Order: sequence, then C-alpha cells, then structure tokens
Amino acid sequence: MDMDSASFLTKLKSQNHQAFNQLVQQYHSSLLTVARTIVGDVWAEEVVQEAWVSIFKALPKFQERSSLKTWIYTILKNEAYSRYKKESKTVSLEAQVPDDQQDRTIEDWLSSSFNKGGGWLNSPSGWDLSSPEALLQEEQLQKCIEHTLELLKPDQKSVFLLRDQEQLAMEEVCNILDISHSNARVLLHRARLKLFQVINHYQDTGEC
Amino acid sequence: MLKCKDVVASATDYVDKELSWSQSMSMAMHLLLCGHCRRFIKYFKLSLQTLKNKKTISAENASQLSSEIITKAQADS
Repeated sequence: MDMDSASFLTKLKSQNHQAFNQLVQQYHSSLLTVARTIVGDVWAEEVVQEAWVSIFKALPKFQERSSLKTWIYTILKNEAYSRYKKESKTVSLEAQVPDDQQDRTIEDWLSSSFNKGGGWLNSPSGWDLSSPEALLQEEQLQKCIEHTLELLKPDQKSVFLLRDQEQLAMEEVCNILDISHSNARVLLHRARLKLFQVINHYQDTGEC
Repeated sequence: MLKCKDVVASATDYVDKELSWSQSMSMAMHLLLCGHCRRFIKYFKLSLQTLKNKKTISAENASQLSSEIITKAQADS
C-alpha cells in the first residue's frame, strides 16, 4: 500500500480503522526509535502511544502541506519534547547512551585500513553479493545489519533511519531531532560507515 | 591532492551531493585515478540499499495497538 496515495490518505483522514492500523504497523518501530533519542527508554513507549492518539484525532485536519511521514514525525517530536520538558528532572539522557564501542570500532577500522600517507592498506575486496537484491535476500546478513542498528547510539540510529530509511530531507531530520546540520552529518556518516564495515566484513568472512 | 582516507571521510557528503564545487572536482579526479576508492564508493552506496528492509511490528501487534489507540482517542474526545 502506497501510504502517500490519494485513496489511502482519504481513508486515513476519515479515520478509517484499517488504514490507521496499517499506518501503526508501518511506523511504530521507527517512531519508538526517534522517541528513545529524545526521551530515553523509560518514556518512549508512552510518548509514542500519546503521539498516536494525537495523530488519530488530528487526521481529519491533516492538510497535506507536508508529507504524511513528516507530519507524523513532527507530532511525535512535539509530544516527545513536551514530555521531556515535563520529566527533565528525572530523565537523564546521558544515562541512556550506551558506551562508544561502535565509534571505537569505526576508529579501529579506519586506522587499520590506511597507511600513514592516507592510502589504502586494506581496500574493500570484491563483494560476492553485489546487487541490492542479493544483499536483501541474504538472511544472515540482514540479521547482522539489524544487530548493528541495535547497537548504534540512539541519536545516530535516529538520524540514520530517518534519512536513509525514511528518506527524509536532512533539514527535516535536523528539525525533528533538534540537532544541527553539521552534527547530523557527522552522526549519519559514522552510522553509514558502520553499516558499510559490517557488510564488508560479512562479504569477506561470511560472519557478523 | 585528496588521499584515499579523505575519500572515505567525505563519502557521505559525496553521496548526498553536499560537497562544494572544488571538493567535487578533487573527488572526481581522485576517483578517476583510484580503483580502490571507486570500489569503496560503489559498495558504500550499495550498503545503503540494505536499509530498504524496514523493521515493522507484526500485524497482530499493530491491530491490538491501533485498537487501544482508537479507544483512547475516542474516550478523550
């Protein structure tokens, strides 16, 4: 189902339960990821539930000035920041950020891949799986990728998913997550490098 | 002259067409001469295609969740 199609939007705007159900199925996981970035694990589920209630109520008023997904993420963002302000005395974002093991892995990969002059020491070898279809069909690789995404820091994962999975414009990503363009680009690049590194390693070894 | 390490550092900006004109020219020149980096950029772009498998919740969970949400929304109004 094309979620931006006129017929689907018409159903949604009339609060058709089946269409709303499809929307929930499609976006719930991504909304949770973004909510975790803003309010942390403790409040994320509740914030997303509240956002869904607001979305359902507001559907008849959706004027299509932005895409449906941008509208959804904007409502989530408003709910999340409103909750964050309310609970900021008790929520510690620092406490929820996992260690920087992922960043260290990237640093290790970069330092072992190049010589002192900045040339390749270990350039990527030819990939056996070298088409999007082949990569998507490799079940074990998909598990590796999923695991990698789980290990990304919340802000990194949110930028990555909103930009590369949801295909939102960088400006929208920055607006939703309330981060600067330069910060978002750094987070995105590190996440993309991590994804590349995991796939490259899998192609070399057949393992995660 | 751009180094291979610089190509990796600029890969996201290159893929998203966020490099300045002079940076783009340097990158193009380097890629013309360096097969290793051409391959890296090709695979870097390819790896992003794997995100097309979007993680979603099960139909059963979505159904239960959306029922709860609709009930709450209707109770609120």
